[in-house]
Amino acid sequence: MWRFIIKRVLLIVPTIFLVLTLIFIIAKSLPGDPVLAAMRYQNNSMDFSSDMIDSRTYNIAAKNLNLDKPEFYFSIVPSNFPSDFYKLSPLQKKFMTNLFRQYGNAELVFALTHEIDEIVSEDFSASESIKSTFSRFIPDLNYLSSTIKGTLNTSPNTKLSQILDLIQHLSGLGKRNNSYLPKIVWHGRDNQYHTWIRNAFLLNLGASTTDGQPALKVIFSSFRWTFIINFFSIIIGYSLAILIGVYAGWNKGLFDKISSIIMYLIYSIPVFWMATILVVFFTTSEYGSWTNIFPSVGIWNINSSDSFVQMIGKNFPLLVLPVFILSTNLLAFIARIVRNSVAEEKNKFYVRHARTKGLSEQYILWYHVFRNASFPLITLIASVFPAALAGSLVVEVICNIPGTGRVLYNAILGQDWAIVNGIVMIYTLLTVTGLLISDILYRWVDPRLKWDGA
Amino acid sequence: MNRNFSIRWDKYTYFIAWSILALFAIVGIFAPLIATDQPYYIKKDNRINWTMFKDRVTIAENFQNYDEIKLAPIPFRNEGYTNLNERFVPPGTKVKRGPLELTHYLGTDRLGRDVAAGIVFGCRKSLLIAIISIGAASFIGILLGALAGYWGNKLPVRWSWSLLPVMVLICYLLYLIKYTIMTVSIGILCMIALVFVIYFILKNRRPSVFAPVDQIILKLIETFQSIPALLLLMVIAALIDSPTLITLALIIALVRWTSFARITRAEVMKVNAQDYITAARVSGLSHRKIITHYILPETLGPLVVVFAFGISSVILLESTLSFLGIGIPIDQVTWGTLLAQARQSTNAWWLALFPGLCIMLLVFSLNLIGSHLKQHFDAQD
Repeated sequence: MWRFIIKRVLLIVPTIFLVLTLIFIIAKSLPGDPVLAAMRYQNNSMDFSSDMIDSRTYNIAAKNLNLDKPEFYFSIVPSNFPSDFYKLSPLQKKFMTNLFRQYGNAELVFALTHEIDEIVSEDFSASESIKSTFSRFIPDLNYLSSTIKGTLNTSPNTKLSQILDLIQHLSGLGKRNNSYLPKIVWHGRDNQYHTWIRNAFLLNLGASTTDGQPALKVIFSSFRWTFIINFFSIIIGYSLAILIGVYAGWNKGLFDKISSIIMYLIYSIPVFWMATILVVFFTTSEYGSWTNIFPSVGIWNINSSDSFVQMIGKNFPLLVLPVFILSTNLLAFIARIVRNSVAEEKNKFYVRHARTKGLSEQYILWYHVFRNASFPLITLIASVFPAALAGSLVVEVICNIPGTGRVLYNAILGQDWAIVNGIVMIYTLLTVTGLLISDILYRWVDPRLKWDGA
Repeated sequence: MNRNFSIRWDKYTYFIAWSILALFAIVGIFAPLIATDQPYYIKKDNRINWTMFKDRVTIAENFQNYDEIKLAPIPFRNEGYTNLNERFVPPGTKVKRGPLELTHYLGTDRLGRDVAAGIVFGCRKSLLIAIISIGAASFIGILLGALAGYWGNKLPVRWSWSLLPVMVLICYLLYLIKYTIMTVSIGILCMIALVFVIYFILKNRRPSVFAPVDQIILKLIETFQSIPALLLLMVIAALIDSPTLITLALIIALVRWTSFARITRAEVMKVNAQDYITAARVSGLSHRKIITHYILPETLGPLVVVFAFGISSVILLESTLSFLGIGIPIDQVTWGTLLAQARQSTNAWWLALFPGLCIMLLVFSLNLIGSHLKQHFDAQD
């Protein structure tokens, strides 16, 4: 038994490693740039496009997000590309690779990119029009040279004429001297992937980018609320579900039919709809005086000097609505499982045997059938908990409870990736632990299963 | 309670579930005909003008004199217009459109758009997303599941050093297409490939060895299931630059394929142990033919159940995401976005009630159908 448990606990480590790698790959291969998204959010405008960004501003924003490092231990670029190619902004990368494809000669192309970037980023005495032309990084040399010539006619400028020389030199080269040889640039351990994995294992989540608080602290102070809601709703949901499910499975008939339909209906109600309906109709007296059943939502009564228990005591009535919503949803899910499990056990031979012994129906039900029927329930506890945590997200958002779900929602909307990453890591850890516990419980409850088979 | 009643009850609920689903499917398919502000036809001086099939011969007020006009059941468009004079109009309100008097059957939202039209088109979008994403998910899931179930840990791989240049060539072609390739995924793939090469060399010096596909795919499924689906979806959806309905469907597929893979793997393993498969193998049929002609048709029953539950869960996930406003274009009207408006203005009860009712009915019918199918296939075994 202990060998099995130790083996399963040790197997968590590679699983977490794989999950983290998977999240990293998905995040990096999506068609979006978190740096640009964060800049867009900070500049507070939806039409803030990648057009007007020079590499300096981009790099400062990337440094704030810890995304200024290379992505992986190595990168593969054409052999005459500069090794700090990764530092360019996405637009400049596109500009450079496009020109490289057309003209070859990476050194000249890189020099040109660099010069143009300088004009865009520095207080250069050129007109705004040429700046905005450059900042779009259009990979068309004819277009660029014609605009430069137009500006030079009115106001001569040494820097611009240098760029013009560079462009003419580049387009005069004519023949492509593309390098078909790739080069592997080694970046060492100072890369995003390494940092991501290391920080995850050391639980070094960094600081929130919006208010500078340590992410771990934010997550744990919010996790208390999530835990409280889910704890109550799991207890209530389980006990009601067992009562209804056992009764329906044992006395099949009209109650069974009707309750199973009702359970299906409740199970089909989206959590957010039920929450919206209850919040809209039953927290105000707008639709008649009797509809003001629940107190209006939200945990407002937070005094930082209070302890957590005091806070709960003050806000207890406000927790009723979210607990009600979550436990109803859970109830419908679990009652069906209990019902099916009891109905299956009822037809087994040991029940008939117990009846012939003259045991009472209640005794058979609770001491024999329910014990066997509760196997799936016990194992479910472990996997229900992480699922419920994710499920309470919407309820927290609607009912304004400062739990992990609402923190995650606000962090996603506010592009606060330190918090998002932290919450994803911690939920992953919880889910993996939950699966492990359910695996162990499964073998512990059912002695017929062998301990050695992993 | 007699057995007869039980069977009749089941049949009855099954029929109701299918009719609800069929209703939603019909509404979804014919949405552009049901909710449109283009009249079907306009009759004038005994000449019928089929305005329905002309490009944007819009609102009825352009047609002042006519003998007869035939409007769509819901004579409003759903997107692309705002009518701030008719914000939050309660259900059943009549509004003037030129000579005509039209009814907002289910009221309007905060931009004055008709809710009934929004619900009809939301149905279309929900079903579209569900079908696309379940299609993609089942494709990945069935492929990987069949691979794992059929070969187990014994996929014969004839390793030879001539494979190495081929792999290098593929990587090089990728490099030529895009000068800076995705270093992370390629790097990790290279690492995995290296581990395999070392594993093959150490384990067995013979030219033919077995690849443990079952273990790999099981590990992949476990990895995906270790992240709560809604969380992963929210994070991925927030990262995408310009979300569309298709990208939303595809990222939902990314988290939903595991259930298909699990069921397919288990079923293929079960069928694979039967004698007639051995007979087919002995008679010299190709592996592909055995899988596609003899094994996969047998697994179809349990898979249909997963389809039904999968579609209902995708509809729930999609409406949750659009309710939260993550991963869906801002201008799209779906059931979720309609519900989200109800949160902001609590006196518009019709916005809270009708879209949610639609989600509930659709998901309910799919769940009921799924459970009936499950009972049916379990009884068959």
